[in-house]
Amino acid sequence: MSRTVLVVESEPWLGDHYIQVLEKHGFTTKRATNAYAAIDMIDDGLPDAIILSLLLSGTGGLGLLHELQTYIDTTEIPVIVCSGVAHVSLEELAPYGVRQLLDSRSMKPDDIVAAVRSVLSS
Amino acid sequence: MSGEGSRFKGITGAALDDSTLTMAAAGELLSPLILLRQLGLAISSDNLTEEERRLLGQRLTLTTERALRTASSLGMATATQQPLQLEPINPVTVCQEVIHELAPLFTAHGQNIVLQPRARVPLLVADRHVLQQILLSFGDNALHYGAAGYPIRITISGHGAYVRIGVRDYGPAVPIDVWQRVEERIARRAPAPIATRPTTSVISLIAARRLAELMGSAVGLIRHRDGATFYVDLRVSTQMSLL
Repeated sequence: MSRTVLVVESEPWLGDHYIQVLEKHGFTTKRATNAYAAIDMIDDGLPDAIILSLLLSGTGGLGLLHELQTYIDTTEIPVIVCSGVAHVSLEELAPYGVRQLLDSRSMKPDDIVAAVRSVLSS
Repeated sequence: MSGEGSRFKGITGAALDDSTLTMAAAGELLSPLILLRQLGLAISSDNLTEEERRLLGQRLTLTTERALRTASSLGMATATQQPLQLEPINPVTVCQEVIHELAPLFTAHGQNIVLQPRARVPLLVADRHVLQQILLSFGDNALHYGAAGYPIRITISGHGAYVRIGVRDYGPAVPIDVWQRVEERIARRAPAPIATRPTTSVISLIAARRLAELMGSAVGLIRHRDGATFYVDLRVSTQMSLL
């Protein structure tokens, strides 16, 4: 059965790109462009993994991470953060449920697939 | 519906020096460059249809143009000796030029931008190029924050001694307190926490404010229940009254 990945990215064309790559590798995808839409989608059905941009419009990515840590059922959803923020480390984000951190300045399309597979298999 | 309490409230904030705005500019350009890189990698993939390749090519072009607009706006805002050419300008014409430039980007995002001038709008005094940059920044911001399915409206209205050009979006507005915090942090050179780091468009708006100051005009924000209007107020030209 196909695994579902929720892509939370406020830049629509970047979100399109992530979704295309994931779907070509057999994943089912959902997308949200802000934290509120993401929460609504998670309420409708828990995704197997979340790909999250930290620099969301409105409430930022950290706000969504806080929200996910608030509820038992969402705490365990593995989150992959794609960020171009230079001084953010996985050690800082791990307490918020982040399992992988991808540097969007240098990542390649297949990196996102590898990251999703990695968090789903761990 | 407008929030009357904030109506006509000008945006105030700390003055920005060149180096801090330049630092902000570097961050500003990061977002489109990240997108350009990913689009470039995607378009070089072997298993694309012709339509997918055409779409990616279009997005590459439009994203590059957007980044160039941002760079131009920030470059002008940081110029210490900005040579201004103040002249009487028909605001309708300038707005039409801005819409013409933004329309391809809006269309590609499934959005629309329209002009809604009042009847008999007076000429205003401005530097045409600087005014265009301000309105382009407002337009880019509206595209970033505007909700799909609602056209962005450029409005022109006379208010006594000045003309107001506004760009109205329907979506989550940039709260005034967020705007002020962003400016204060930049002025203090303090690193912003991740959660409050300004998105691309906010820095462009700060540049717009500085460009407006160069012309002796001001920009402001009106929050609505369902969006926001960013506006610039410009002096009415008295040239016609001298005839």
